[in-house]
Formats: sequence, C-alpha cells, structure tokens
Amino acid sequence: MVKWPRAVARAMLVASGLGKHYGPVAAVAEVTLEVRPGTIVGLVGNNGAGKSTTLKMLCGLVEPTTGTATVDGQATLRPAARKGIGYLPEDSPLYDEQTPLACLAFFGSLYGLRRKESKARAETLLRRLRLDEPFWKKPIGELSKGSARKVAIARALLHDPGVLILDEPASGLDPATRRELDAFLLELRAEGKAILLSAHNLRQVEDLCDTIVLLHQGQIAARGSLSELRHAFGTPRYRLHADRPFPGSAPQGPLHVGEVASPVLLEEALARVRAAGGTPVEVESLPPSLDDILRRVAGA
Amino acid sequence: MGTWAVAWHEVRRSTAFLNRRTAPLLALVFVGILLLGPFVVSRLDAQRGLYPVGVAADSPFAPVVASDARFAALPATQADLGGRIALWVDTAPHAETSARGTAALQALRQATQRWLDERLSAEADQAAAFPVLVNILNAPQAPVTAAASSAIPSTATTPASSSAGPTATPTANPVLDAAPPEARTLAVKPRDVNPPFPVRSLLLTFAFLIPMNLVAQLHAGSLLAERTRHRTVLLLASPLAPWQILAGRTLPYLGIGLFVWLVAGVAVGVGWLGAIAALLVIVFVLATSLLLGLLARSPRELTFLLTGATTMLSTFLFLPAIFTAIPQVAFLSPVAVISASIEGDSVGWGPFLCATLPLALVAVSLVLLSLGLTRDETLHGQASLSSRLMASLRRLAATRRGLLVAGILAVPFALALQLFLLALVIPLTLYAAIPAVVLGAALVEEGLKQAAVSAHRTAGRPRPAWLSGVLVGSGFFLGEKLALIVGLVGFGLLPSGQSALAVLGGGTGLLLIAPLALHVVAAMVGASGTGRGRGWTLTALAGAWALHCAYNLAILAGALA
Repeated sequence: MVKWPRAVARAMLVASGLGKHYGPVAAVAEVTLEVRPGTIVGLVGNNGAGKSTTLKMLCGLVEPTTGTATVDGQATLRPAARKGIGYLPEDSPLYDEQTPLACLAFFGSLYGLRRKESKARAETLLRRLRLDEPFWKKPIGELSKGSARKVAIARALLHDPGVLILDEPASGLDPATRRELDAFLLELRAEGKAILLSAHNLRQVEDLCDTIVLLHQGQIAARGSLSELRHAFGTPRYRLHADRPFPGSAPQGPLHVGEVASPVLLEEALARVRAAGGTPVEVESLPPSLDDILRRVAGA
Repeated sequence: MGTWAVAWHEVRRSTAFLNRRTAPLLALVFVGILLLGPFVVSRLDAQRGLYPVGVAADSPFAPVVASDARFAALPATQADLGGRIALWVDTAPHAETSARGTAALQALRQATQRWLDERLSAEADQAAAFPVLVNILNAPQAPVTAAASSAIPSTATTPASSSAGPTATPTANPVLDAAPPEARTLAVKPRDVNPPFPVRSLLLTFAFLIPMNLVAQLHAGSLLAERTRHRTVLLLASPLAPWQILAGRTLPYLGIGLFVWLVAGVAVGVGWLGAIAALLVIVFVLATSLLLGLLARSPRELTFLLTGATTMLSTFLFLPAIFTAIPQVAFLSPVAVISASIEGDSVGWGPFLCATLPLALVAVSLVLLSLGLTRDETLHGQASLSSRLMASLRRLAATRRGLLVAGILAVPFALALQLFLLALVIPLTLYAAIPAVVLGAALVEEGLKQAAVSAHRTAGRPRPAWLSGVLVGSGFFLGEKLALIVGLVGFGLLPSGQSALAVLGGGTGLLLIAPLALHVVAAMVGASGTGRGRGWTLTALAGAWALHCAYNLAILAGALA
C-alpha cells in the first residue's frame, strides 16, 4: 500500500451530516467527520452522548435518518463496503464454546479469506497481541477477559481493513494490557490504518489521538488536536504550595498543597495565605485535561 | 460463500452437544425412526381390510370392491355370509343382518358412488357425463321409509352418479333395495352424505408436522440466543447482506425439514403435488420460526409466540382439511392436497393453487418482514413487539415499489383474518352474521392497508398521502384479483368477487374498475390521516371503513335483488 503523507492522504472514513432520530428524539444530529490513513481520531463524550450510535452508523449497523457514511468512497450501508472496515464492539460477543483459532477461521471465511491465509493471519495477529500459544486452542469462554478482548481485536483486524472502528477498545482491560493495546494501536497507525475510537478513558485518548471529537447530546461540541482544544476551551488550573493552609489545601510534609481552577480563585488563595502570615512557596500552572475540557463543554 | 459459512457454523454450533455418548444415541433414534416408520404407517391404516367380502366372479361390483382398501375380498360363497364374510356381492349386494353388515353395505354404497364419479370425471365430454345441474334444497321431511330412501339418490343427485350399480339403469338401486331396514335409515343421515374421514392421511400429515414443530423451536431458539448474546452484531458488521445471514441461519433447519420430508414422502408414498404442498408447509413453518426468533425478546416470549403460532397454524392446516366433502373448504389448506395425495386421489391445479398460493404469499411476507428486522437497532433493542414489527414494515414499504408489494402481500393476511371472522360469526343468526361479516371484512382490509401506508409515511422519505393510498390500494387490488382468479379457477372462493360479477352482469370492465376505485379511494382516505397523530389516523380509518362498508352493502343489496 502506498503511504501518503497524512495531510495529503484522502480520508478513508467520512461521515457527512449523520443523524439518527428515534421519533422526535435526536440521538445524533449533524455529525460530520473524517478519518485519514495513518491517523487516530478519538470520539469522546459522556454516557448517552451518541458515541456508540455514531460508530454503528459509520460501520453500517444502524441506518442513519439523515446524512451518509462512506468508507473509501462507498456507502457503508452497502455490504461490500464493510469489507474495508474492522469493527470492534464495546463488549466482545464471540462464541465462548469455540477456540480463538476456530472463531477467527469462521470470521475469515465471512470476509472471503482462504483457510490457510486466514490461519496465518490469525496466528500473526495473536502473536502481535501477545496472546500465548497455549490459549489458542482453549475455548474462548475459558480465557480471561483481557485475552478474550485480544481475540476480539484480532477478529476486527483479521481481513486487514483500511479502517478500524473501535468502541471502547480498552474496556475491561488491566493497566498492563491497556498499555500493550496502546502500543499496538500506535503500530497500526504507523502502518497507515485510519482509526476511529471511542473511549471513556480520556488519558488513553490524550495519549493516542491525533484529533479529538467531543460529542455532547448527540452533536459535535468541539473538535481538534488536544492542544487546539486546550487553547480553545481550557482554563489552566494552578497548584499552590504554601506554608499556611488555604481552602482546598492538604498538608504535604511541611507545606500545604492545593489546586484551584481559575486565576481569581488563585488570587483569593494567595490572599488567605498572606493574611495568615504565611508565604506562597510555589505556584504551578497545570494545562487543562481532556476531562476538564469535556466538563466545560458539557456545562458540568 | 458467506451463506454457506454461516450455515456450516450454525451446524457446528448447534451440534456442539454431540460427543461420544450422545452421537450414538442420536444415531440409534434416527435408525429407529427409519425402521419403525413404515411399520407405524401400515398400522395407521386402521380401515384397511375392515370388511371381509365375497365377490361373485361375474359381479359388476368387483372393480368397486377392488378400488376400496376397506374391503378384503375373500374366496367365499353366499353361504359364508354371516360368518367369514359380512357382505356377498353378485349382481346386487347382500349384507349380513348385523351392525357390521350395515356398515359394510354403507361403505359399498359410498365406494360405488366414488367409483362412478371418478369414471364420469375422466370422460372427455363432461357435459354428457354430467348433463343435469341440480340444486339441492334441504326441507323438513317425514321419517324416511325404505321406499322413500330408494328414491332419494335418483332425485337429489345427478342421474349418472345416483346409479348405485356400475351397470344399473338410472332408476334401479340394488344397493339400497337390498339393504336391511337399518341401512335404509342410515343411508339418508347427513354423515352418509360425506365421504369417510381420511383418518390415516391426516394422522400421517400430523405426524409429519410434529418434528417440524420441534425444528421450528430449535430454529427460533437459536436465533434468539444469538441475538440475546449480541453475536449477530458481528455478522451484521461483516460484508454479508441480511438475506445471507438469515439464509445461513435457516439452511440447516431446512435441511432437517427436507430429510423429514423425504423420509415421510418415501415411506407414505405421496404424489408430487402432495410433496410440493408438504414442502410449502415446511417453508412456512420455518418462515414463521424465522420471524418469531427475530421478534421475541426473551425465551419466555418466544415460547408464548411459537405456541400461539403453531396452534393457529395447526388449526388452519387441519380444520378445513377434515371437510373433504366440501372441497371449497378443504382446499383452503395444503394438508387437503397432502391428504388427497396420500389417499391416491387426484387433485386439479385449481384446488392445488387455492390450497397453496395464499400460504406461499404469507410465507414470502414473513421472510420479507424478517429481512426488515435484520438490523442492529431492531434485533438488539427492547422496543415492543408491535413497534419492531412496524419498523420492519417501514423498511419493506419505504419505497414506491415496496408500498405496492405491501398492498399485494396484505391480501392473504386479509383472507386469513376474514376466515377467522367467518368462524367467529358462525354461532350468530343469519341476520346478525351477514352485517358482521360485511362490516368486519371491510375493517380488516382497510386496517391492513392503513398499516402499510402508516409504515411508509413514517419512513425516511415518504410520498404524499394520496400517492401512498394509490400505491397500496392498487397493490391490494392486484393481490385480490390474483386471489379471485385462483378462486374462480379452483372453486370460486371469493364470494364478494362473484357477487360483483353477478351484479355487474359479468362486465369485465366494471368488474375491474369498481373494486380498483374502491381500494384506491378508500386507501387514499385512510392515508390522509397518517402521520398526523392518533386521532387523525383513527378518523381517517373510520372514513375509509365507512366507504368500504357502503360499497360492500351495495354489492350485497345488488346480489340479493
């Protein structure tokens, strides 16, 4: 595959004015986004913001009321277009009674892979995901949640799709496995995959995503890189170290340390310390986290 | 390719319980069925050889006795009457004076009538074979005497079929003349008019349906299990089209059905029309389990729905088939075709189409509704059954062509509901039953048409109400005319169509235009209220209903006049 520079490459996954209405209720409205090869786009929002519905519309599972979703120029509602998508649902609905290899062989056949090709790809993926060989022939129901999730990820990648749509890929994983998964996703990005993921773990989104799309009540409330979002929505927080207590501080060794969320509150805290006869020792400026931005966007 | 992969996966998944212990057990059960089947079938023929009969070498009744399995022709003489044989037949039948003799004589009379009818039906010149059209009027009468009973066949039936002996003159009736007094009294009771109840063939057909019910349970249960575990999501996200997924999930069960069909067909010896009818029953059962497996939200709900559906289906299949004496009723059900096929009776194309076409159309509708349900939001949501069914109908009727098809496919459902309505009004007096049928039939038709229009009008890009009404009304008209043609070809099963023919003096132009105008205009009226809230919808339905009722009453008044 020819790898184009990210800025030049044509968007692989495009949503144009996507909307889903259930009667008078709009679950998703006017969602427009695109994912280019070699990039990771993160979809972030509170519960009920419309992340999963948007992802399902993008991979052709749910028919949009308005707008279109295309992968490589083809509408994802067309079955043939879905060959180019690897979809990972939030849960891992695999066949518990089957072994990982048998399960992957079945899904390989659905995507038109030959048996040998499917087996080779399955083994390569399971190795890359660090699922040990003894587990390959155990029923999936007997695997740990993390191992089962690795099989589910391997299933989504089995047919080598250009686009990956991952709904909460790190759901239920322990921190070590989560780190492995992050590294794996970065490898896939480097290979030129266009990846769209949704996550509740905002730290993961901050670490992985080139572009972040904030969804609120079914609509895109903001989008951009993390630094762009910080610039547009973030109000820096301040961490104050002082030798006297102030509202919200906690003793830390000989000093009192606390965080305040605005320059006004910082001024108030400094005044309280000085009034008590103390001295501010250090003021740190903290960039707003994605969580702060999300809370601000959501009005919480 | 994908379909076969899903089918093979379904086979492996559903046979995961097979192991070294269960596999031989299952094989044993199958072999047992194969070995015991023919034996059971032979035992089911309870009436075979029921009456031992002695037949004189030159008796004209010899072919009649040979044609009916109830008679066992024994080498005997008239002296054996009352002992080894119940009936002695030479130029006339002679029965022993006993209940057995009476029954044997009655059976011979029925067999003779059937034998004669079959021969006359095979005549090239049917006008010559059945030259007289007779209206039978039931009227109170005095208790029947022997003399009166002997006169009945020659006045109440066609001359040809009334002759009892194959070579008898039209006025002679050796069967009844020779009958003992008890037989003569029995001969005119209503049960005597009917041919014997086809116990064997109906029991065999019922036995064939038992495994099919089990297959339906397995099929629907498997679909529900897949949905409740959200495994269907991965299939829906794959490049498979919905029909491929459903076909793959159904093929293994169709395979079992075909196995049962083949074994039962070979064991019983069904003719090819009966085999086609049986195949249709299998397809219908699987179409039902397909839809219910996709509709039900829990195993409990599925059990409720499947039990209801199989009960209704069994009633529909077997109840009409019992009335073999009234082909117009019996051939509402494909079981009548299967039963006749097992009995070795010939079935014409008309009755065959009457018995199979509506069920085939309903099966197509069920499959289309199932396809409409095959979406993540409808398969995995917890919305009510009616709203999910409506969502499916919405997908079917989303386009103009879909709306037309929905109108056509509403017809078999309307016929089924109208039959149900007829069954309900049977206990009423004639004066109450007729208005109930006229009003109820109109409500059924308008309700179904409005459901299709409502589904379309709440879909993505609805057409104007008037156009929706025109499309659904035209579709319904087309479907109704198709049913009318089939009915007329068969037996004339659509009374309203026939009445229209009578009222309009057989003018085909008006015959076509009047119902077309009715269906289109009424559907347009019904459509005018859709998408504007429940109040408007019901008001518009009432308007369409009133219009349809007025039309039906006009037709009825014309027919009575």
